[in-house]
Amino acid sequence: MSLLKVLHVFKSYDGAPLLRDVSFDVGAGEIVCLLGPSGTGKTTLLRMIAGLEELEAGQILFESRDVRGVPVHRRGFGLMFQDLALFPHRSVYENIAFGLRMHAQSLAEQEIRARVEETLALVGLDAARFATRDVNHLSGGEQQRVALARSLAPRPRFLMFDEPLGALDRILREQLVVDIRELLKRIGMTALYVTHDQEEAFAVADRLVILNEGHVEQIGSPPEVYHNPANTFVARFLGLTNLLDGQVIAVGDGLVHAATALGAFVFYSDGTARVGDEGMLLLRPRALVALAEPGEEGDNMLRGWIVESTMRAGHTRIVLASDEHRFTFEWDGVERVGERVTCKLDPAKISLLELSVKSAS
Amino acid sequence: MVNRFFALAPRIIFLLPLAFLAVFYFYPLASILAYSLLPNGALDLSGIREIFSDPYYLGVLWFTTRQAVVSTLLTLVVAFPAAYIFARFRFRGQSFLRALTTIPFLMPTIVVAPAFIALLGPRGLLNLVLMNMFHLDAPPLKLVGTIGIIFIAHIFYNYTIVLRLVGGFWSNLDPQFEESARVLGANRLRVFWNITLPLLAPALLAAALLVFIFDFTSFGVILILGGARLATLEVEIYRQTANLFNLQLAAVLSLLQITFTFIFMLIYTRLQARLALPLKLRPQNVTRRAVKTAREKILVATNLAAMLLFLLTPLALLVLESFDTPGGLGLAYYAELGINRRGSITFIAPTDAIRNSLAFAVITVVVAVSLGLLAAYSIVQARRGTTLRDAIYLLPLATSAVTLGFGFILALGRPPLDLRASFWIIPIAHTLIALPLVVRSLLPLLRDIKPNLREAASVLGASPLRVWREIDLPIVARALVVGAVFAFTVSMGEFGATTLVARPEYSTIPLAIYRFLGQPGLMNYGQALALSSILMLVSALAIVLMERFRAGEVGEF
Repeated sequence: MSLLKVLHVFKSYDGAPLLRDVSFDVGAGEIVCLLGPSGTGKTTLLRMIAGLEELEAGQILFESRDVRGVPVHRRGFGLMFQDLALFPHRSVYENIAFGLRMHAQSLAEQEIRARVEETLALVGLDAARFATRDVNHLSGGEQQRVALARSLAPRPRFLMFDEPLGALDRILREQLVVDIRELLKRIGMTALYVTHDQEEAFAVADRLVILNEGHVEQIGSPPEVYHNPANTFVARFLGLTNLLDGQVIAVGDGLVHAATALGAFVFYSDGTARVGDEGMLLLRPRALVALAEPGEEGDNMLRGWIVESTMRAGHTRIVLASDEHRFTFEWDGVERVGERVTCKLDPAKISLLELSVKSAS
Repeated sequence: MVNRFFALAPRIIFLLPLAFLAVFYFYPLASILAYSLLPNGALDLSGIREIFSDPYYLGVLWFTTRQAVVSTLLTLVVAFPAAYIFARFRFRGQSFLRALTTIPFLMPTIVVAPAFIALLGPRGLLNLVLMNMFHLDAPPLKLVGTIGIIFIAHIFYNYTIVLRLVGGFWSNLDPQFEESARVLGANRLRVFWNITLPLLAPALLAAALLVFIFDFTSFGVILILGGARLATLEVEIYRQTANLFNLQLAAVLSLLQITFTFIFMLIYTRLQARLALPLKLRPQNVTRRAVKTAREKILVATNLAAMLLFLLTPLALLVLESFDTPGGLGLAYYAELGINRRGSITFIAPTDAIRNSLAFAVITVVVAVSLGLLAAYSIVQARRGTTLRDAIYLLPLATSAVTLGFGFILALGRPPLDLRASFWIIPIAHTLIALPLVVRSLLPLLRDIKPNLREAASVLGASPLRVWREIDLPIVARALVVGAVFAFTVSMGEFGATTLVARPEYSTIPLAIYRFLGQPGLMNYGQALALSSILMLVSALAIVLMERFRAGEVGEF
């Protein structure tokens, strides 16, 4: 059952549309990630759910009830801000206790203390060492944990994260994102997580909502999205950049034949392609299976020069230049820069993508 | 940014401070304009022509400018060594000593003038010592009524501006500029002349201009120490209004004064923006060094001793002489304050003046802090026009006290708003003068509160009112205290405007002091000293309280 439903939400900023008809839902206990480039309205969406900004059109339902008109402080949600917003004039303890003190059914000081210590332990901080500390003198990672503890302490019904790890370095971020997911799953918290970093999103989310220029491009689990990007935008955003304009010329026997400026390609049909369809062929990095012998002819042949060849862990990353295009493949062999080669591609690693609105315009 | 606390409060209350300024600042200002340029309902520039063709008024203008220029240059020269010492050396009690230099600046003029009379006047310490030493019958130093004593008082007053602006800027200046010049072969003098001084230029200019503005509009010091012959524009406006009742001439002079101060303020703000060099400022712990060699010790010690001697002697002497009665050391002058000897109706007992002053100060604090808080929020919250609002609330600071008082007489002394005989006209005038200072002390802190702190509190369940109490209030509390103390000190010591608008029954401490100083006899002089000492003590206490809360450099100059 879905706990939160966002239905056909619209919002503009300074007269320009920011969010256009955004809909998605978050199930109880699920971690959903809003993923998209900066400036696509992810944070605004989060702030509207929190009640910090007004909707222009659409609905936000929580437990099937419209939250419109419920002031921020009565929603009982949690929100971890991008720059954390720890209260600089309060100690670690008082920051975490803040939410506990705000509620009408006031807790006794003992209970508050117990909850603060319990929450500190939950986020992996030693209560005895940290409770009395000044928040301004904590390290970045410690501040992150205190902010998380502050959001968790009042036991919100639903927790939101706005790029919470943005300010940290890569290594710390990778560790913390795993910790956050593990913690949220352990306490069964429903969460909505905003980020522009796809690796962070893949590590934390049960389900991704990919936003671009204010609308939803694709919703799905991380593997679904990765293996079947809905369109060229999603593919490019996930780092799948081997794209080539093509048109379907024949469909049959579970195979699709497409013509491109660089020759004819054949690949397995997903059942939707029709003759005459235009789109972009996605060649996956692992599509390169062999180099053709001189004079060999056929489908799925890509000719070009090797312009880059770098050793990576476990494979060689080669960049092939063909006409104006650049293709990147992961290859087990070793090739020299400047060599002219013909690549044979695996039909299973090729697919046809819809043009996204953005690439069409 | 939606701030829900302010959605609660009707937006209209944020217009209150603007309404206050409209009625009690812009309306009087407009009245001055109308009175000087349209005396009979039609444009008439004869008043202005008259002033510019009369050698007497040209003389006043020339004297005003000359004394301000010389006072400013002297202040720069006298305070410069201390600015250097505070900028480049680290020593014990540094911040306390710096705070101490603020005391003269915030002292009411009406206290400073008697303090210098106590030091340099005919019965002053210096003359007594000289007369004793050389067995003279008459005081050898006749400084009161000369331009010399005015210079000294002005330096005394504005010393801290140079120390803070120049010293503060200097202390963040990277010593590496000077060091690299030394390495490149420049001797100390060349380094100072070619590197340090040009780098300090923006701060020097800003300090000079600010000091100049204060000296140009100097009132109490000139009125009391300058004697009957010396008059600045400010003093002349006062005389034309209070003694000669020549309101039209006073209006023209006020217009002149307003024009000048506005131009100076404009130049000051422009300069500040333009001269900000793209320097990488360094923290003070890097730029300051401990006092090590004997030479440095002597340098620092003599400088600080001279500074303290200059800044504290007059004030200390004031207190000392207030106990020095003809019958030996005693409280006779203080005791006399409570007695109404003449039994006349117009005579207001000093104790009444003290009571009035306290009442006005309390009202000023309440009104100025409330309006200041609203004004500061409306500046910070404004979607656009922030700088404009900021500038509007700063304007009263750029208008001299006597001009304000004169504007009140013109505008508020007749229908539709006749406050001439009202008790309120005084706290209103004081609030007008204190408001910019309150807004100045609140703004930096209020600007620093990140909106997401309030949002975070709100998401955590704090109601709008609770958000204000838990987030805004603790953060701006110190600034509120600073603003309140500012308002209190301003009100207690205000002289220029009060002397024009207050009815005798609403006489304040400064007015009482001025009256005692103008009357002959040792008892009157003694009572002036006693009242000044009381006022000084109150102001000093307030300043100490404020410095405690200021912590660092909160509050813009």
